[in-house]
Amino acid sequence: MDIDLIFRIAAIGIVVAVLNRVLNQSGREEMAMMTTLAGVVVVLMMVISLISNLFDSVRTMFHL
Amino acid sequence: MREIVNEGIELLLKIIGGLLVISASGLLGILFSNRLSLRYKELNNLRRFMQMLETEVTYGATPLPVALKNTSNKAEGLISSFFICISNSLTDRSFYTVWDAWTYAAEAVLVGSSLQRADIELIKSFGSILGCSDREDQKKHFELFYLQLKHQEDAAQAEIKRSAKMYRSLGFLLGTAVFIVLI
Repeated sequence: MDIDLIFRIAAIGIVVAVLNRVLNQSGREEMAMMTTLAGVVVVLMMVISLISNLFDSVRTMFHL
Repeated sequence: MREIVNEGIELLLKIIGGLLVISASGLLGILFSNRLSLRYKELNNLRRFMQMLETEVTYGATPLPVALKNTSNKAEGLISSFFICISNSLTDRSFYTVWDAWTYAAEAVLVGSSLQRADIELIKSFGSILGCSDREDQKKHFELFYLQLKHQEDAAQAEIKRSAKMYRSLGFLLGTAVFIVLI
């Protein structure tokens, strides 16, 4: 769990926001929607192991 | 001490790699953008030199291979090679009709260029009427061809205005995204 991950997620967020704006501006709205979704999927994949750990600890804490 | 140096080298390598990725992707975007503007320029050139060809044929009454060669000397780049290819195949008598030579040259020279499929089909369809009728009829066919070419040109111009800037920014942004995900 390092601070690097948070910076990386923030940078991806910025890039996706700019991409969204550029694509909306040129009229390719469906492509903008697709890149937003792709950005969400990428961030999710980066974070998935941490989420799995979180669910494990929640489960052990409440079934104790 | 050694760890600090190693870390510094690692950071430097990351920065160099990132610059390479971003510039490569950005250059790809610029390439796509240039292809659009090249298509417009080629269509414009084609129209101007077809007008020269028409003048030579209808007013100078020069035979087609010679007229093509003369026009190709004044032209440059893609159109020049196209005309030279037709002229050579006509003088070599490798094809029976002008249409065959024209279609062959269109497939050989124009397919790999920045012209789209629709443009190439338009050019090929013009070859079927070259040299088949009298002077007035040829002039009318030339006029129709110019109108269609102008239409394609306007479409290319609109496409440039719409997409050129987008392709450029897209290249750099996708490079940045790859860099962020990998680093």
